[in-house]
Amino acid sequence: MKKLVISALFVLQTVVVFAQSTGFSGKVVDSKTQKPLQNVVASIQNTNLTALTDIAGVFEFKNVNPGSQLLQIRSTGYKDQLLAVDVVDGKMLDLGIVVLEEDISIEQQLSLITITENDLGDDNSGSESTSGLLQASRDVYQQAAAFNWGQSRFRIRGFDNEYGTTMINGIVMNKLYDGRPQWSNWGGLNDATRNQEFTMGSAPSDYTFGNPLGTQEINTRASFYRPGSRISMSGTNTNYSWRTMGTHASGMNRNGWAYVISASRRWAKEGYFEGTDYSANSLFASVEKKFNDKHSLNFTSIYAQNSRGKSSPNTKEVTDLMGVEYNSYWGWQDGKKRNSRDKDIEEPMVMLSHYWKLSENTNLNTNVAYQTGRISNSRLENPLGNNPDPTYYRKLPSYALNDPTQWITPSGSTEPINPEADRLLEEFLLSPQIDWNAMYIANQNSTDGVAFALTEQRNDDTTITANMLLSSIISQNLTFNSGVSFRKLKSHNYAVVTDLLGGDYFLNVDRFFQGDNAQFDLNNPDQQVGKNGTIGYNYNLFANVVDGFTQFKFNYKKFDFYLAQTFSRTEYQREGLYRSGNYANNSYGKGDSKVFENFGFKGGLTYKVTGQHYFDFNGMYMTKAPNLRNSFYNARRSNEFTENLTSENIVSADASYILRTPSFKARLTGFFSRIKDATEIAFFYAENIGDSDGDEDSFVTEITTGLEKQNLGAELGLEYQITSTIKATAAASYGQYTYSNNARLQTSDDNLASQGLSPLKDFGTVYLKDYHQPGMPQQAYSFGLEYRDPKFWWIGANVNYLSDSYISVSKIMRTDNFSIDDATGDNYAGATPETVRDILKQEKFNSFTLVNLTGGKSWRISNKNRNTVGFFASVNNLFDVEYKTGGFEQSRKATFPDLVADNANGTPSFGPKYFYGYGRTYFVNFYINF
Amino acid sequence: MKIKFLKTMFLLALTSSVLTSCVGEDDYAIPTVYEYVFNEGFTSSPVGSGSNEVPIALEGWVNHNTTSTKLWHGRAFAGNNHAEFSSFYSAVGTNDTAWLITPAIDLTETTGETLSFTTKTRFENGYPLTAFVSTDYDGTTAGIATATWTQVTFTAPTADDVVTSSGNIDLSGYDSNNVRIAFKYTGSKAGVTTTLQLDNIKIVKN
Repeated sequence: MKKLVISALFVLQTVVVFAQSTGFSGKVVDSKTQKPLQNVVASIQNTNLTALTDIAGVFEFKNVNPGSQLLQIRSTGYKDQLLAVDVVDGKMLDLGIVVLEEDISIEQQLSLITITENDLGDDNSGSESTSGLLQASRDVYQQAAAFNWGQSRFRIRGFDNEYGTTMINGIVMNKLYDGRPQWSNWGGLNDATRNQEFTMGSAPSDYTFGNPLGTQEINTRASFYRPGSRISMSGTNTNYSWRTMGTHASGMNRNGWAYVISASRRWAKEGYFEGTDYSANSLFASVEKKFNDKHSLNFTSIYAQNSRGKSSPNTKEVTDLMGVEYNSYWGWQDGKKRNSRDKDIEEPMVMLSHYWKLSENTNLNTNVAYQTGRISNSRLENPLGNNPDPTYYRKLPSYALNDPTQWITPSGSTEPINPEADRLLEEFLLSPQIDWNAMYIANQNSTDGVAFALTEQRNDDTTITANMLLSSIISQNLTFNSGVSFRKLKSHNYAVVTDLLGGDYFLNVDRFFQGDNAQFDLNNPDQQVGKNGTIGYNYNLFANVVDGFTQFKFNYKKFDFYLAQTFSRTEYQREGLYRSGNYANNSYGKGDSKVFENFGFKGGLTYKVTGQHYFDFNGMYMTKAPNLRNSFYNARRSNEFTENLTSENIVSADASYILRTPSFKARLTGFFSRIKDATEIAFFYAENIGDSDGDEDSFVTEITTGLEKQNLGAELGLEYQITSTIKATAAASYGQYTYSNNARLQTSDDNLASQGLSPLKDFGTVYLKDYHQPGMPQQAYSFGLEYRDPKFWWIGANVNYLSDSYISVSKIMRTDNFSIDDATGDNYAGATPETVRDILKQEKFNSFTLVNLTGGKSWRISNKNRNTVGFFASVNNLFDVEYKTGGFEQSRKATFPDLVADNANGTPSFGPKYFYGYGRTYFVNFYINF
Repeated sequence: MKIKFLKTMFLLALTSSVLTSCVGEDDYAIPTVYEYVFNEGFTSSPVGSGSNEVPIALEGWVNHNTTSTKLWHGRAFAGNNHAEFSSFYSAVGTNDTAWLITPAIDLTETTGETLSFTTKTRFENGYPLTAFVSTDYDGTTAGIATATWTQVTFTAPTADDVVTSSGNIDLSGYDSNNVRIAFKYTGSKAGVTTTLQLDNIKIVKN
């Protein structure tokens, strides 16, 4: 028994001679249970030869070229095995027993801090790591990126998730609104979404043309799951505290039925940051009926509901006073912490998949999916009250410190003092949270509708998707893939009053304006809205997308290459359900529709120097329709499209050297990409931007067009099996992700519209060239050691160094409006190239080192079956290092003298706001497999 | 051998591509900030009011009336200083040819220079101002007559009390260290008496 285990990484090279054929066979068993494993994929590297193990765990290759060959054995949930085999002409070798060990990264996947669901922020700062995409990858580098760098919001090649494609059964899950997948739609269903295929960069996928970041395909076909059950219970101190999960997969029975069910619950009264409650329930069911060898039908349903409290980004002034875990969004009410900014996601989906084996070599897969549901974000509105945010700038000491009139010099002293700042400080420290009671009182005293109300901004999306994927092995050297898909989205966007906070009604007007201009809906002026009534804005967005791709993959002894092309047509339209007071003529009813036609080409080449050395090259050119979010610059009010809206142009290329030996694996890749004609839209309050209010602040939309981004760098992954039990891994990522041109900036201001003027104001060039793209470390290094004891326990440690993460710069501060005084046409006083350069320097966050530990053990319950129990534990950021994961400059002080004045005493009222990473966190998971 | 060669090529290509397109920490673009070879807003010139005129007497400047005695003088409007000339208070029977000439400006170190200034008129009864460039003026009152003055064209106000920019006047052709800009007011008590305000004389470099 023990002997067998020790031979885990090797093979009993018993050689038995068979007549005639040249090849080999072997038997695959599970290391823990010693039971044979069925449906394991065995493939000979550099050939098309692939075999599956039968029910006895046996695979066999005949007609293999004699000589040294590399055999790869892989199965979901197990570590890949790479074996060197010397094939002898005219002989069938028996490799004996190949032992597969459980892939511990699967346990790690469960512990992956669900940053993917914790999209930080506002609309303005989509800081999201690419971990979710990568978790199923087996590449050393990508595993480091997912498990060790993900917590610091590392992004592969500097790409936002909108440049990747995430699919379930070939159905694209990236939202048309912002291009990003909504991970919460299947959050908590780790067991059920484990069958994944991942491609990196523009490498070919069988399911889609893809995007420059890569593709992730989650397969939920019931017969693909390993039969068995699993129950797990976890505790952690990240965004949730507890999780339970149960999954059962039946395997295919004699009548051709297979099913998988899974359920999980995750919850926390308070997560890592103050006042962040969490509750998520997920259900999954997949049923497959195999009618005959040609036809199978699979039905998948996924219901994942998620509700959580958000946490605020804070300025340095606030963090210095309250610490990094401080969250200004919550306040006490009836002895409970109530968060004013909850995010609720509930978008169930169903999918019907038909698998049709047209011939031995050709498969046609048809999927139809329907998804409907709601994403809502709650927030406080204060139509008649002061801003209830405890960190509102007028409530902080800096407000007085930056007001020269508050400084007084007492008689007999030369030191000026600021008593008002002291008073504000005292008041803030006394009540640093939202005061719900004060809002109830204010509402009771309000006569013209509520002063405060809790509202929800909702997206009710319904998407119907259908696709057809054909794959055919045309000859030994040529594989053909193609697909067509159709997507139709109706997105209803509106706000509702969810809590009147003791008041009578919400008067549906914009208090900033007078008369007709104040009406959110001219069709129902001065409407008194009760609980659950619609307020503020109300519109539909429609999108229709049709796309298709073809792909040819050629395999030869020394070279593999592929070519793929795609075409898509995207159509957008808005329909206003309100007639806005400021946009009476273009807000109600359907607007014009706009069509984008896009195409792409890509190709690549793998040169196989030997079975162990490869060179790999990929190149891609594509155009990409702007996403819905950026297509309407003022979607809440008007049907108008963003001016000069164009498709993005994307060029990307990479080159890799890959080394794969049984004990040493290495990959070195250089990459380059350039995205042209990107459009970005942001919202903020600004002063002195040449609007009618002069010095008063006004809420504006900032529209950046023609933006160019350049990402280049190199990535390295090394894995070395030092002994059969000790493995060392190293990964490095060096990137330079910058804006590579000066784009154009416009603003849209409802104030201008209210005077019958065009809301758009052109700010000309925005000087962004050579600023760094924000929100991710551009350099990351990881070194890890892992010990796996033959007695089924293991421990691992990782040291990670992350640096070169930059703040998101304010774009409006990088226009001539910042330095040139409109009144004189000349520089503002004090503005010289040096002073302007100095104050506009992009903040680079401190680099930091994170140490992570993982470990686990599992036991067999009995010798008779595969039942095991086990646990997995990890500690992330062992030394509790405090680090910034991102941040953004506030755009409010938009001119040089204003910004200088705000920074004059070192405590700006509108300093940058920051997001922080978790300190030391742990994750423990107990599981039973049976 | 072949592998080694390919590997080397690959690494070389990678490093060179990374190195050549590296962005330094301080390479980022910034909004327009004008840099001036010359900039005079008369902020340091004392101002008079009414009939009390304080002549402009800035270092290196020449302020001279070749046909009479009245000179360009400092004035303030809404707190903003400027140079002003008017024949309105000139003595009966006199003619004014009042020159206001900048110090020698060195344009040899810079390229793409443009000149601009602003003018405003009051009580306009004829436009009195012309402007010139010279590279051979010696800085003496006598030299005004002998120097070569090249007239420049600029945008003049079309109505009273409107500060009007001259527009950008190209000086890139003057590669000299003795460039002088001259403003000449031509009027008389009996003829043109327009009050002319001159300000913001700037030469921006590329």
